[in-house]
Amino acid sequence: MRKIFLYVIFYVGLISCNVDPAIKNESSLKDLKFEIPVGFPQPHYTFEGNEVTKERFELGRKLFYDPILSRTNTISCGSCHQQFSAFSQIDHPVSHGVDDLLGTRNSPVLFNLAWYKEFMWDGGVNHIEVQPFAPIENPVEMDETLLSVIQKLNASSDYKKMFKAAYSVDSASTKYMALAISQFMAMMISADSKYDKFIRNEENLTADENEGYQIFQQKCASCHKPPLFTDLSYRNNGLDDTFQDEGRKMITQNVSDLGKFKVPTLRNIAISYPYMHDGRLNTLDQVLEHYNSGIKQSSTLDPILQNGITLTADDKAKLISFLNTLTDNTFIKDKRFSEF
Amino acid sequence: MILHKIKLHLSLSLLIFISGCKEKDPVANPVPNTPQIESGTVSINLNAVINDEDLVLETKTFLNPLDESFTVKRFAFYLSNIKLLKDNGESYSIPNSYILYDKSKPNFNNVSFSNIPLGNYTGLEFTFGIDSVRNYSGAGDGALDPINGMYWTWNTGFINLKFEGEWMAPDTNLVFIYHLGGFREPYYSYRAAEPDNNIPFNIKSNENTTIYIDADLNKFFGDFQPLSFSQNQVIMDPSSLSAKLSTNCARMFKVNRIE
Repeated sequence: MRKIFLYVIFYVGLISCNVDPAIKNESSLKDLKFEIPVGFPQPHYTFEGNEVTKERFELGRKLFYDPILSRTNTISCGSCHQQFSAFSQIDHPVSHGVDDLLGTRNSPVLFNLAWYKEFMWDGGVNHIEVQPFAPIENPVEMDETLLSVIQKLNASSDYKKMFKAAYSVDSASTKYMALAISQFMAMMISADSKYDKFIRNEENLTADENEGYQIFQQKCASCHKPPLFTDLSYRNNGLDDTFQDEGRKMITQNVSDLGKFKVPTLRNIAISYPYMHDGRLNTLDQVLEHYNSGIKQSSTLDPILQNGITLTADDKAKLISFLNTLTDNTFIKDKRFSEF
Repeated sequence: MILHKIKLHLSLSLLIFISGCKEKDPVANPVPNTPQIESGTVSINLNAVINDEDLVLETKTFLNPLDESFTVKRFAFYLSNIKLLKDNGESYSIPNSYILYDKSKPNFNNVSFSNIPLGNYTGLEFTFGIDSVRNYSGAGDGALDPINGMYWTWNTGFINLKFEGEWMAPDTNLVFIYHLGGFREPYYSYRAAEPDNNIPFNIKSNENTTIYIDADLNKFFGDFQPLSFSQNQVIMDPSSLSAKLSTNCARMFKVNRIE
């Protein structure tokens, strides 16, 4: 009798784990799949050779949040990419790496990456699967060698089991580490903001939001093109007339790319301050004022911005109302992507 | 005692639970890799030389064509897309033929490829470096594993050649570092290549043919684009110069012998 009693207690405990919303909702990982949101184009990354499974996703998540990837075992991907700010890092103009070293650029948000062909502000990384190698080896980010990372992972029986379960391999390797992290990142989709609900006819915008949307369509959407809210091009948006950071030119060696950076998405923009590639602007009002009155001329300045973008105070307020509708609370609270 | 029993029951039930969880479709038996009945094997064996001397790392001093003295710390490069030329004008491209030569890792320097069609061959062609398509293809392994240190992570792409060492400059020794990489126009650094001298060979059923190829480091300094230590000691970005030096590199191969 006591036996039965104990088993019952144990199983009830397990079951309640599965349904307790306070615990990570593992049941949702069972039906894990990549779904293209309504109105989105076909993604660039198709998970070919890296088909979505619970085991791969979980391995990717563990790696994403594990400081073992850094030389000092103190910095994880999640250190500079925090879910509550759509996987950016608020209040940090540039990334903070090992030994309190400062990077040169602002941690970008992470979502909808399956639609990206290139990564980083300068587009230097040309495939999502090789993206994780860049911060790991960057001397002011994780400053670790891939060799050492793989040795550390293979010293862990947990990791070896997870690599086996995910990819049927006996040990960790750069390839499968990269596949797992990129699967986790490519699964991050933000497409459930108030704006998305408006597009799907599930919710209405307020009058101000709607007027802001009209202004956005006239004055911003050519570069910040829906549904990704970026056209993924590289542009000089007039922040400088001399260029300490050469941007895209560092990758292409082409002088016509001097001072160009990738057009960032505006999804979740209200919660991912500060702004611009070096995080120099703190508020959306400052950003809009830059386009209104702050454009600096240079040879590579985007032609669209030669005369700036005229915006009244009323325009700016309404635009900000609209930009606030791009915050996706479903995404930033999605337990599948959280550390704990 | 009771506590022990509880522990036992708990761990038993845990075991049952876990094994229940882990129950999955049995892994399908892998399809046996049926070899082509009529096929042979080709091995490519690479060896670095300077003029006619074998390259020795660190301890031996060499002279370049400008009579500058130097020692070598690291010498590594990629060959890819190996194509065997048949005597009837046809050719056979070896699938996934990526070879990393690394003087400091001797086990990398002899690579075998099976399922080679039988017949008489007049020689081979290959690519110096890694082609553009592979550079856009995501995570690789084996010779293409970035762990080999032949990969730029901040500006995606393979380093097609690493040549590092010390130049005995007139007053002091200076470090030189030459990394040739890049796959974008106009400064790409992979090149179609062939040995100076092709030697015919025959592929016989179930036999291995080894093609011994020498890579002459002296060619790095000239032929197409002259280079002297006094002018350039560091090349680490795709550039006009690195692209031209790649053409030098495409000309450094010579078939030593075939066995």
